Amino acid sequence: MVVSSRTSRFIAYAAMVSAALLQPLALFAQDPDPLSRLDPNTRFTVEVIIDSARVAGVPTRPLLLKALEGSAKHADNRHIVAAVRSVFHAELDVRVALGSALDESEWTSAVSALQSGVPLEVLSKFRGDHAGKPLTRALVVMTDLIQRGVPMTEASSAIMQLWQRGAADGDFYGLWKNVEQDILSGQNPGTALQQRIREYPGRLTPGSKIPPASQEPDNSSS
Amino acid sequence: MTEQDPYVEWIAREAKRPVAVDPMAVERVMARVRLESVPRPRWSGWRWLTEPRALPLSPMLGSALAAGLIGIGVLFGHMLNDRGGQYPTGGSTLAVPQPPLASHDTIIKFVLVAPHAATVSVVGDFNDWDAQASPMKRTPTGGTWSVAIPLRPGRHVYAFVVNGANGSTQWVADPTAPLAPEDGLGAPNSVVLVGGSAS
Repeated sequence: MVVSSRTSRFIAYAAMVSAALLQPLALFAQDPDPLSRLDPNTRFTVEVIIDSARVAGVPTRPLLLKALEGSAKHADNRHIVAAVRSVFHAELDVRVALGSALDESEWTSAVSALQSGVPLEVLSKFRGDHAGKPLTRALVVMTDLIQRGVPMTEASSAIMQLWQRGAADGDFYGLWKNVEQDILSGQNPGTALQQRIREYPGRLTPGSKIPPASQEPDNSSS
Repeated sequence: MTEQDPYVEWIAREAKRPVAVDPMAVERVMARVRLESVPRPRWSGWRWLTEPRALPLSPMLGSALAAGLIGIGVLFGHMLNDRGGQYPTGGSTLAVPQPPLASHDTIIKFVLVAPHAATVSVVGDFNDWDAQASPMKRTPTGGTWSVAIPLRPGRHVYAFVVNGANGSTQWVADPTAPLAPEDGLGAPNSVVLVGGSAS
């Protein structure tokens, strides 16, 4: 085979041009920088908060996801930064209340509980060895009940006592499902919880903060 | 000088005698030679690759070649990093880690009834809140939209993006799932707990 030096030169030039052209295309395809969706000033502020979280030893991924959520919802920059900062501060509070030995789901569910209005001292009651206890489920149900209008003190007291008495994952889910259905059918949220929590006999202490129910429990939808 | 052997003298005479050759013989021989294929040197490609040669390059083209090679290396490094799903360990590198699908992932089917929607998608922390990532499909019977997504064990936050035929877009929480608290971003979210370590 006879290859002239001119052919060799052509092949070398073609390889160089191909590499130069393919490089930016490949970078676009990978989208390695999701924060590029933010405007530069917002991005800078979010990055500072994330760096602070990294130094503080609290999870950074929830902060990044909160910024992406704000961008996806077309929230204005001020609200995006405020939301990210709120999660960061809540993470610091969670660490005070529950310590650092949490998985990511426990971190985020505890942050949500604080953001829904659960006081730090109430959250700290969940601290300790919770192996085998459904901490994430308990916090998610408590947060949802508060979001649906159940008074915070009633929701936190009921969930706390269920959790301390060793309620199973299915107990929390069942309670949530039944209270939700009662609320959707028009019942007062607080009343719905009072009635449904009685379906777990022996799990509440006599000194429960749950006020006595005004009606007999309705078991038809359980 | 010695006396020559008569036999040797005969051989010498015969060797010096002109030989009568057919004038077309040369042509025939050459024609036959031309028909034979030229033996190709073995390993010519290898020799072409290894044979030293001068390759004239201008400074600009040389720089472009170097930049291209560096770029290929950087891309290869990015690809390896992304596949490993590693969290950023320092600085301000903020690539979202995408944990690889594992055997303990659970397929979660998201369903929404939206009969008047033109398109619906589910967005959440599992797809980096990308409204294009998980479009839902309308069931043949009508207004129910669904999509199945493999999720890691744990707590996931999500919402539905409902696009109307008139171009309007609305974020909707899942009416059948627990609510996440309002966080000032203007639209409610839902929570799904996937088994496994979702304590």
